[in-house]
Amino acid sequence: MSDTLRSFRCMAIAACAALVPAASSAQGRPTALAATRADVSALRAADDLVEGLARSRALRIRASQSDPLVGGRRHERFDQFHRGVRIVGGDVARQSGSDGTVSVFGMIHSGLDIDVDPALPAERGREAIASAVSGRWFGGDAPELVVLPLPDGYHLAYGGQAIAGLEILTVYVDANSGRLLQQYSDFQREIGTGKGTYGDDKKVSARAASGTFLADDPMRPAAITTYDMKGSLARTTAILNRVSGVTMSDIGADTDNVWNDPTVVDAHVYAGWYYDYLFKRFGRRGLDGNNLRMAILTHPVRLEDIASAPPDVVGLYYVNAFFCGTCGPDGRGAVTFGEGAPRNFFPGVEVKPFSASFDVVAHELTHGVTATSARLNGFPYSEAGALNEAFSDIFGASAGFFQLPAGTAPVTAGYLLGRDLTVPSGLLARSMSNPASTRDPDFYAQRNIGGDPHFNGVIVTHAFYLAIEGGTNRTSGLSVAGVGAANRDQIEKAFFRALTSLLPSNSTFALTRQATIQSASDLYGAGSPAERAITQAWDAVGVQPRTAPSAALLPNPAPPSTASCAGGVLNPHWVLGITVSAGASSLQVTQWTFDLFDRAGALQDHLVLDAPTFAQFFGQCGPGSSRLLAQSDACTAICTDLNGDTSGAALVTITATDEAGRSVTFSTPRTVLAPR
Amino acid sequence: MRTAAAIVALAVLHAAPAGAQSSAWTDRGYAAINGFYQPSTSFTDLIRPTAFGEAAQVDTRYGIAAVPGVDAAAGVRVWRNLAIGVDVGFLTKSGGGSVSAQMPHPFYFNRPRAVTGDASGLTRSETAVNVEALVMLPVRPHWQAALFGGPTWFTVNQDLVTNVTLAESYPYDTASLAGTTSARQARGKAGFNVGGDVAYMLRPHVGIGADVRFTRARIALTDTATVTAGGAHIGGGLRLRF
Repeated sequence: MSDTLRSFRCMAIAACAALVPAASSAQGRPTALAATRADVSALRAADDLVEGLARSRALRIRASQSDPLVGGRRHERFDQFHRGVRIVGGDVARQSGSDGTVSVFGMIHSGLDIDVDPALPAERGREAIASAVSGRWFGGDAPELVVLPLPDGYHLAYGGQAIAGLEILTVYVDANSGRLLQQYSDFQREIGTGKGTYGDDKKVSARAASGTFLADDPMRPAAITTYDMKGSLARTTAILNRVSGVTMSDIGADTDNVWNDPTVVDAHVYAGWYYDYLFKRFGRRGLDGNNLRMAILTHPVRLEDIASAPPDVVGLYYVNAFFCGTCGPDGRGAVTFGEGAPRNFFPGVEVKPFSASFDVVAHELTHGVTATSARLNGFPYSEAGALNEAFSDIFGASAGFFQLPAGTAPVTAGYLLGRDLTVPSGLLARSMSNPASTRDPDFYAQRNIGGDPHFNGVIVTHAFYLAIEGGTNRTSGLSVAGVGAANRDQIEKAFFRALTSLLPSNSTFALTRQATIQSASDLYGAGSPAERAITQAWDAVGVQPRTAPSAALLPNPAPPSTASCAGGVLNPHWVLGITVSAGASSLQVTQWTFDLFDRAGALQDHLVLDAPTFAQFFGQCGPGSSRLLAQSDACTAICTDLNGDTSGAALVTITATDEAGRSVTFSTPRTVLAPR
Repeated sequence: MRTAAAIVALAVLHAAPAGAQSSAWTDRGYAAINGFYQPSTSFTDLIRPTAFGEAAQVDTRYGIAAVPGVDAAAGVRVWRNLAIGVDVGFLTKSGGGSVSAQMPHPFYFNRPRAVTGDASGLTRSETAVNVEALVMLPVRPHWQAALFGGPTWFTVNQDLVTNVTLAESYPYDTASLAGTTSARQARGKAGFNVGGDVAYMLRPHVGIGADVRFTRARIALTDTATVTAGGAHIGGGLRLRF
């Protein structure tokens, strides 16, 4: 036993967010709502809860709109408040029809006992936000006072934006002490390479002004303006950070309306095409449904300066594209497209400007849709971040299929997102059809919790692909009867409606499964091919309804590791990732055990660990607490040996208490520790 | 809207001699004011104006309705029953056309929108100067007949549709015809005329008559629009002999 204990060594699966423990209220608990007419009593209970909270002003309507895709349906989005202070991540999306409530999805926090009178005045909170990230205040006049749920409880916090280096961060500080509680980047990035255009003819909707033509679309209902930063990083950051307003001279221009800057042409035209896609496919008017203006920034840097540019500038303004919801003119969002990289800056590769790939442009603009609808958050380790990227990939590719012929040549549509960014093509792409081909996961258990959301999101995009095209998932072996490419609009609408009308900000893959199935049922009927295809697709990628808690010990089988594990771990040894997932109920972990078996299957070691140890181990890649929120995950990685044995198996068992006070126990499958 | 066109033409007019029953024609000349009716005609024009950076296709079928009118003629006898004369006819009409167009999409190449409608106010005027050799054939007392023919110089003025204006709104996938723009084209060309006339002389120098005249020329107004000038008309009116 002691040998086994000694062999445990925590390893970080991925970098963690800045999480600093602070004074908090341990009371209160979150409850995930995912009720549909499939369970009428649960739906009635959820509806009653929403009604009651709305009457008491604990829920307040943020948005209410008719469903553009299903006649007679209405969607309301509520934010939750505690004594008049908004609870971050506490929100509900309710769908109703003429015959009553249809579905309720969201997260409600109850039992809070937290004082909402901050010790710090707002001005001090604003200063604390800036200093916490060694940056500069970037929000409005005052920070927002919020209740911030964190794994260690609820905090009264000030939240706002700050500029730190090249990034704009959302920052939460303790409203009593000013200590940093949480930060994450507001930039939605896309990694890639690319340069120039592919010589295809496009029509530029321009505005004539003072003897020249401006890349300012006068024909679509939403203002679409493409700015030419002329390679000035200083000007770019000044506009993004709202230090400086834009002027007419910042707008891309051409003297004779025969445009010769392919970067500006691509960016401007593709933004218009994306607007058209939203309108024609979904009846949505622009990013927010109300013709929010689109601001596109091109040429943020000069290509010839790349060799002398710092790595962070290369990574952000050359080989990247990003959406920032609080940047740009009037602070209502902007997309910036990197300049690319000349051939052989990366050996053998030319990186095109990031506006050269329509699916990438559509991907970034979809972040604008998400930011104004589900607001899938950017908290590290949440699945919402991966969903945010997944929806952007999904509608990036779908917009491509809507506007372009399918194919593999440049400027055609396909399931290889970002294919046109590089020459040779596809070097920075993500494959929705065959994720393994781009080293991305195609099954839920392959996700990297806390890792790159673009990577994890491919599980969702692969499900989307399967629901349309059908096929067999390579990992699970499960087959999906897709609706067929001719009916792709059905799957697109089901997913889009889930994103814009049903999902709350703290969504998980499991909740997205429920919401997309519900959406398909609403649109095409229960048992329809679309609903069936989506259900099968989620099954195939291993995303199941998460009503019960679960745990996974991966990989299985696990090959011996060559990693160096400190603490006298013997050879051979194995590195294993453990994921613990709460279901519909939050969990308080009371005990966990780690069992090792020899090659004959006999128990070799049985390690019993307590709740503090759980918090210690899983804090590096999860909540850092023995308390696990509903629908959330905790994870860690361990290095273990078998006392010199060359093969065997391992098993983890979790014992916890759920919200109802019941004791629940669940285990991972037995994972094979494979021989060398 | 259709407006009636006036036609003035000079036609054959016999100055009936006193002894009309004789086969010899003794008058010095003739004149006539004649009303006539020219049947309808049509032509088409296919143009490709540029719209939204792409070639449009506008196909217009012009309809020239049947037109009543008058014409006038005068001539002198040069030898026996042979006379040389000039007939001048003029018609004008405000007509219309049916338009069928494929108009480019403002945002996308190769996604034309079908537009149909009517164009109105397209004026057509036509002047015909007929030089004619006329043979008078007195057939009975008070009755005269004549045959005539010769070259014709036509001048045609025609309003042609040069583009269309659209009623359209976002997303511009469909459009309707809001109006047309047009320009007047004028061309002249030689043709021919041939016909016959029958007159009944109420008095020695005054009578009434009817004629049938066929005139024709093909005139290319533009590279894409060719019209047929003239046509068969039937008329009748006053006959004078002097």
